[in-house]
Amino acid sequence: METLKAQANMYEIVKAAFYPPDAGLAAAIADGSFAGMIQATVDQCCSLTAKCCMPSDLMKEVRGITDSLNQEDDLDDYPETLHVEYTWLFVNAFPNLWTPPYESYYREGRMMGRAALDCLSIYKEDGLVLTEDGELPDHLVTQLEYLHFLCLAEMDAVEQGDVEYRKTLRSKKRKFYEKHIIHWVPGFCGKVRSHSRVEFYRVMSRLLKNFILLENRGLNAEKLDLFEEVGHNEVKRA
Amino acid sequence: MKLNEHKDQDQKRGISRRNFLGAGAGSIAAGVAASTLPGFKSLALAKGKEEDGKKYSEFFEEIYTVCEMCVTRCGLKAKVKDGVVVKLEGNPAHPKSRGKLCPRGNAGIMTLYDPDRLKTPMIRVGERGSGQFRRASWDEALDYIADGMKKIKAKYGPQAMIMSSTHNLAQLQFENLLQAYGSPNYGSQRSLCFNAMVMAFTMTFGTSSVTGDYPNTDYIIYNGRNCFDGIVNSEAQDLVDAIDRGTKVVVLDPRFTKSAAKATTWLPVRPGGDLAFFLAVNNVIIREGWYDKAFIDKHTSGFEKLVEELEPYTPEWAEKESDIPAAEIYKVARDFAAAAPRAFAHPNWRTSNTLNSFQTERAIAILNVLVGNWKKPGGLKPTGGHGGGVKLGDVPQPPYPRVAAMRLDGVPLKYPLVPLKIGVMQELRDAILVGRPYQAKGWLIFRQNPVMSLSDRNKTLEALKKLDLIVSIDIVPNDTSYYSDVVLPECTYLERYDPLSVVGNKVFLRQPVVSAMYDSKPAVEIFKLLGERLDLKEYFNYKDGEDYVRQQLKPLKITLEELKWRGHYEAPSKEKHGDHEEMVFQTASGNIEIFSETLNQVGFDAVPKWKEISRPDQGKFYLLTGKVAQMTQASTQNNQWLSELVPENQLWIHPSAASIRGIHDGELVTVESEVGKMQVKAMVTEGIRPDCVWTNFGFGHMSKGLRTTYAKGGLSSNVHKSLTDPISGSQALSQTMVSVYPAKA
Repeated sequence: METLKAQANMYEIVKAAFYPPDAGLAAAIADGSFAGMIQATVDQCCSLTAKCCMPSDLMKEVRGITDSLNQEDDLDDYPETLHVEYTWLFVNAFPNLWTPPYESYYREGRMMGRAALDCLSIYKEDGLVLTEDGELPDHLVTQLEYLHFLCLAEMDAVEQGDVEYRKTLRSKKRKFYEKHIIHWVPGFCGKVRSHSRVEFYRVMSRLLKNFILLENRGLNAEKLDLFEEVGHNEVKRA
Repeated sequence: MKLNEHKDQDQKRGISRRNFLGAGAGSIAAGVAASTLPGFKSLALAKGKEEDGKKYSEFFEEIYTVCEMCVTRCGLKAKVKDGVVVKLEGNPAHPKSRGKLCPRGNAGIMTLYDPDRLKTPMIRVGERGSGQFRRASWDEALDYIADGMKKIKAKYGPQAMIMSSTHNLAQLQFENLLQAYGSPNYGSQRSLCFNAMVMAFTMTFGTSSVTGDYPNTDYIIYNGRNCFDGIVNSEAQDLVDAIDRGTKVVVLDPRFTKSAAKATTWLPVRPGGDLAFFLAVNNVIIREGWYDKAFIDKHTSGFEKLVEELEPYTPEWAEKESDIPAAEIYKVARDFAAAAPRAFAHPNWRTSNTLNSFQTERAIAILNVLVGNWKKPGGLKPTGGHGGGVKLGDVPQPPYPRVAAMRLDGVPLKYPLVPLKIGVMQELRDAILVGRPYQAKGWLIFRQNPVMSLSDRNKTLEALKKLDLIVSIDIVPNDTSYYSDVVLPECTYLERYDPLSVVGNKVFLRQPVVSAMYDSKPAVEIFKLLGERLDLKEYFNYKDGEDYVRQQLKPLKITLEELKWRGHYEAPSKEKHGDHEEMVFQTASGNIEIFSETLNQVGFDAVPKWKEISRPDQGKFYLLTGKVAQMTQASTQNNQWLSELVPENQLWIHPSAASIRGIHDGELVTVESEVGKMQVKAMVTEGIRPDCVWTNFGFGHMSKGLRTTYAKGGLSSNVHKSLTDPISGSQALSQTMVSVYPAKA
């Protein structure tokens, strides 16, 4: 259960990093609380699995975001800096929008392609709808929201001790990774890392890439270590 | 930061109340206890049972709407599956499309799903032209614009603000914003397009909404009009049918166009020599007595003056000016007259060619008059124009403030006859540049790209530097938005309502076939939101685009819901049988004016006369421009499907001219005039006069935001100099002389 909570927290964190930035995010980055949250989540996870899931130099980078800011003494401009960078990376940019955060773009070179349609069907099947002012179905944050949602449902399943249902949920998650996430998010993260001019997005893209690769590995592992910590007697090992 | 709060909420959630349905059955969301998903922005739990777990439809939904890939506005039927447009087809009930679409209409899907589209409002943060923007909310962006426009109005007066737009369904509402704000400075693209034709036909017949009666005609003369590339869907279909029926078609064009290829006769006329040709045709018809005396006596004025003036313009004389053999001119004149009244000389369309273009169009109008083909089967007929025959409901608003300031584009002082609604775009740009008669300070640009479209681009870029505020409203980051301070994303024609489109006695609805992507808005809503911030609320008495249409529909016997379903409404036809008997002309004299009193009063030639048109120096060429069927002006090059068909423009050049310059087919050449250069690939072909080169306009985009088309091909506007016809305000686009040489030289 604790690992699941850590996972859900991590989805919250990467979602927050890739939503349009607001003053709250800028402040949390500046005062170190954002990095603190990441550190706490990673620590929580590491203490459970007894091995650190994130490379140590990445964690150093995470802590370094706030430091680099303080050194440059540009706190007042920071919300604007984030905003400009977000626009430049993910919305519209001259001379080149390097990293549009849409799966269809990378897989089909257009918007609302088959990837987006498939996401839409999956959401719909699971009882979810797109909000009116939200992003497109294959936008990075929409996909992360869906995965976060599966995490929440999985927490429910654990609470209820419903092993079969949990298996179904994990299989859904694995399929979503297989059909969508793995095809584009790692590459996307790499591009963000090399093109971003702001440390925050460089580090967050690396964090996201590491996190989803870990998740994918966990989902594909035959042995479900996670079940060890469920704690209900009736739950059988997979 | 709210992250910790969410964690707490998660822990407090009443998860144990959940009753699992069992693995795989039902939706997951149905089992999740919380009624909302904390902190989620794009996904939400479905509310009703009907949405819950519903499989997406396996069938298409068909929604009628109106195309906007060019200005023709064909009727569309969009096939939509799972909220995605999968196919566009022509609406069979629409007189323009008749169930068919052109390449651009078919490719509209990729305009909707172009990854480069503008997604949110943006405010410039770096230097102008640095391309540094940040996303902004609509409130922030509109407040910024309104603040700038208010400051300009307070300090320099409303006239310091220019507004410009292309021809579109929301144009009237844009003009409403301009007039309510109180500026006289309006720019349209028409002086770069059809001013000469519009004004010449209006001064002759009292209307410029004229076309030929294709189904009944036996003989058509086109001058530079290339129906199979400059496509008006219905007209292209009509011409195909007419040719199939055996109609004789004469095409005057320095280039062997697709239309010339399908014609009976191609006459490779010298640019500007077309006026001589038509004067001579008119001369033959009068001299040999082919004209319709009864018609002329009854419906026209000034025939005698024409006879007098035409005297010297014999085919033998015209041969020297037009390069068309005198025998050919006699033949066309006689054949045309013999076929009349089942014959027409087409009014043509983009007629901004030479300083003689207005008088050429007058000569063409008069040729039709001489044979008396007006409203006769197979002749020329009025179309009723865009307004059509249906009276729509008005959206109530107060009168506009009086405008005292003179216009920047010289209308009417310098251009007394150019209608205010048309204006002279290139003069407007020049006025910004020189700051006379006063300095413009701001420019609000709606769905227009003057950086591409105006001749002499370097001048345009310089002019932009003189402005304090540049705002553009568009769907893609075009070349002008690259230089803007604020960029507003409009949604595409497949995602919005627009004011109604009337064609004849039919009313067509443009409606969203999918919901708007990103943070984009329909134009009429943008104007309203901006108007409200400019304290002009009373001029925008509608809630949104849908409400605007609802108010327009009030007098008609159809509800909006019904119209959405049917796509169009047919009003009872007012047209009586035997309508061609009615001969009413909205001219000063009430007759068809062969001799124009209006032209005479302001000191222009009242009947067409020849004026010398410059010829290229030894070794130089006339630079000609035009269209290809797959592209619309400078607006469709970034459409990925169309870009596959026509990735860049080419320069047509005659083999004799190419070989002495060492130019080979497919190689890059430089085209240079006194104002600028462009580089394009050569297409060596015998289908063009040796003294001309031709290229299609619209390529050579400098906006790096247009990733499909950026840096592909060359832009003729870089090379065109600005020459303006004093009568019609038309830019003379075929009078720039250029040298051409291999790019590597």
